[in-house]
Amino acid sequence: MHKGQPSFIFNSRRARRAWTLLLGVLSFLFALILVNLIAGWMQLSEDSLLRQNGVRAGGEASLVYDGKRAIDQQIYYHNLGNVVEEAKSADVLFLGNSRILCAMDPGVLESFSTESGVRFYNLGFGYDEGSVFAMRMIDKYRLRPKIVVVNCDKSFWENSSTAGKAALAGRAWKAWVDVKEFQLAWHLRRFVHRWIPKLVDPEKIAIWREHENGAWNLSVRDDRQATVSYVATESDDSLPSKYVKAVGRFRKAMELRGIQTVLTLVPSPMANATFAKQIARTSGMDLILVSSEEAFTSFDGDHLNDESSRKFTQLFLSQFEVKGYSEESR
Amino acid sequence: MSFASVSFAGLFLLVLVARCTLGSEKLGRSYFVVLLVASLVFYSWHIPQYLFLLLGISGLNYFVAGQLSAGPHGNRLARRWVALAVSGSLGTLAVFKYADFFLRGTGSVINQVSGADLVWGWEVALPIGISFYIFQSLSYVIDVYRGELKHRSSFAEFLLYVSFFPQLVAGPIVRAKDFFYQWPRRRQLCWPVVTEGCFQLIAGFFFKLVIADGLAALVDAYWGDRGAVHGIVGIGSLSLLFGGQIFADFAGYSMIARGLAYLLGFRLPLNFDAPYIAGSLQEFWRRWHISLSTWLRDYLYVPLGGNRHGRSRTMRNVFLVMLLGGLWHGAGVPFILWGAIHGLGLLMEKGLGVGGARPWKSFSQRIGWYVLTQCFVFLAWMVFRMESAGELVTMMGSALYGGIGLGALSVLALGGLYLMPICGLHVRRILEIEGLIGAPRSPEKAVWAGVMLVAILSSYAQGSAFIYFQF
Repeated sequence: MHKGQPSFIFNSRRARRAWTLLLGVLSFLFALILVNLIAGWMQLSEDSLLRQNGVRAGGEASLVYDGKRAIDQQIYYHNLGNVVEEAKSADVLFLGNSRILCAMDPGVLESFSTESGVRFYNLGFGYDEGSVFAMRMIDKYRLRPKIVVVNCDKSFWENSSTAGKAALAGRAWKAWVDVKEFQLAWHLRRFVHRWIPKLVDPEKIAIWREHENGAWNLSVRDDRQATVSYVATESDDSLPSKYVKAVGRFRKAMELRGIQTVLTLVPSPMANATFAKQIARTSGMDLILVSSEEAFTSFDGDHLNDESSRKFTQLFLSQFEVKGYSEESR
Repeated sequence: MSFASVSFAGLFLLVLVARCTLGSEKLGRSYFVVLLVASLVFYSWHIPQYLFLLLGISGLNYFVAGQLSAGPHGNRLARRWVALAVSGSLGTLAVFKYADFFLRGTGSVINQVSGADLVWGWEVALPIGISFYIFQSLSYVIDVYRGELKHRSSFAEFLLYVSFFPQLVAGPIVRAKDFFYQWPRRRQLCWPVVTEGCFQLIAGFFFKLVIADGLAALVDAYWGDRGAVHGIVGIGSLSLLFGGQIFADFAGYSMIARGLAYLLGFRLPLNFDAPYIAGSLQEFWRRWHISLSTWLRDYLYVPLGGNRHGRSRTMRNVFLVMLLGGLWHGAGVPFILWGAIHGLGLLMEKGLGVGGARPWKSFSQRIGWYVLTQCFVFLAWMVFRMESAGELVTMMGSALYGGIGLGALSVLALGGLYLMPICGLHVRRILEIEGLIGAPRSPEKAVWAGVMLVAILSSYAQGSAFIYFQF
């Protein structure tokens, strides 16, 4: 063999290409084994939501949060999959952010409904969604509940969330495409992560939303448990004008549609009881607070866990009943 | 439409099928139509109405270029046509990019003077990639005006040049003469093209999804807790992490763009050439966002007089170009400050006569100046990342009076894992320049591609939009 001439195994262009391809495949497999070993050592697979099957329970539901991105504003505002249908026949709508979605236990509400005949629907939205989005939903689908129950933390009286703004500004076909893309990406990721574990930024929460009652159905792998309660500020200064305006606008809009508004407050680090009382005093709306002596636990430091949400719902409903709202909303 | 989305994967797959069938040799009218339609769909995916803006800008510049090619070069009428194209294009850019900034600034002054409490501003979604396609359209008009380019007879061809989807939203800013010459050239989808294109794609996605997004999580968390950023080490760590993030993000995008274009039969210019090995600021700007640097040089610095009218005019031109380069990134004091800082740095280098790749004779001097240059570049990134000028004061106070800030080393240690591939890329480039190793060959690329593919699939972080989409 002459100097500089390639050896026999590389003596054709096709052979060199085959060897290069083989090298790439072997590197891929080697890296794959390494990643699996690391994941096994770190015990990541057991925690991965993407590897679990059938995390949701109950009736028909849509995936609305995949650990990366929430899509329920898009689904609801554009009524994709006819999700708003049940909300149209509800007597009581819950409005607010993710805290009220986690706080109202659908099982407890259902038992109460069976006994009292009052139909509830949870129309809260994540990402600290505000009152503007809720009003737009009520108007767009001509929702006419007898009562709306508002989780009265500050975010509800502030601007719409980014997700809410995107849903309000977007077209139905774009929302449909977004949702389909979101669902496809979820299935693709679940498929890929059967063999390739996810090492970085593991999903801690995935959420399905029940079409029947609007409740969030969470699959949680979070270990930031903490006790939560109401926060009370010492000073009882007057409300800033932006909140007064927002509350006035909302109340007027509800009154025009013949809907009564009741306020409540879900315990969380954001739940300022002083602020809620100020809102109630300013607007003349009734406020249902659960006892401040009750202890509640969150799964992530902010949202109530299953046990606490059952307790909160029971306490809320008992006052709801006592104050005669269940009679009014029938 | 983001490159890292399922809808883009679907669109590209369709175009690739067209490339394998209708455009197997890259020529042919039907393949051209597929590329054009795909590019317009790609652009209108975000906000469909902005497609009319793209068509309007393209139409204006194409019309002006047509007028220029019909008449004699360089006369007063031609200059007026160019002025129309420049003012129309840059005016549109100003309206979308700077009107809100201007209104807010003016409004706050009026509010302070009058004691009113009015809300000023114009909140409008910025059309993605507007700065890029306006610069491309303008370069076409100016090249035709200068007689360096022949006006294309087909508007559709010009529209494809402006809207070609691999580079539409974040560059590289391609010159018409670098694009159109490729058009009639036959280019089959053969093995070297496929492997090189795929390698660029894998490397680009690796830098974006693993490195840039991984660093973004650290930087955002650290930045969100600015009160905790103390001392020289804290600021230094944050600047290193953000410097790594912005490089991986933008260079990653450029690699993806080049890979996509290569698979479709086109070559896009190199946009990054290991900028963090630059031994001077002048060299840094020859390696960082090369297509913008050269655009500013050819269409702004040279027409301003360049270095042809004495030292003080040169200095003025350099500073002005950098200032406008900063402003190009967006309306905001931080961007202007960032441009001004780089402008001042370049003036200092010119004053000392140390610009260029080898400004010093001795090795130790070169190393010393390199370290100084890179400290300057990384600290300037902090200004770029800021949301307001007030943050600069807070951060400087923290650097001066916040102690050493050794607590930041834990964040840097984690971020160091992400910075390693960036360091590796730069070290390899140094060895290439020094002639110690050659350009990577196919077997080496195959190994890296396999490893990076697994890294992408196992270690992609929380997805975020490309930083340069907002420019």
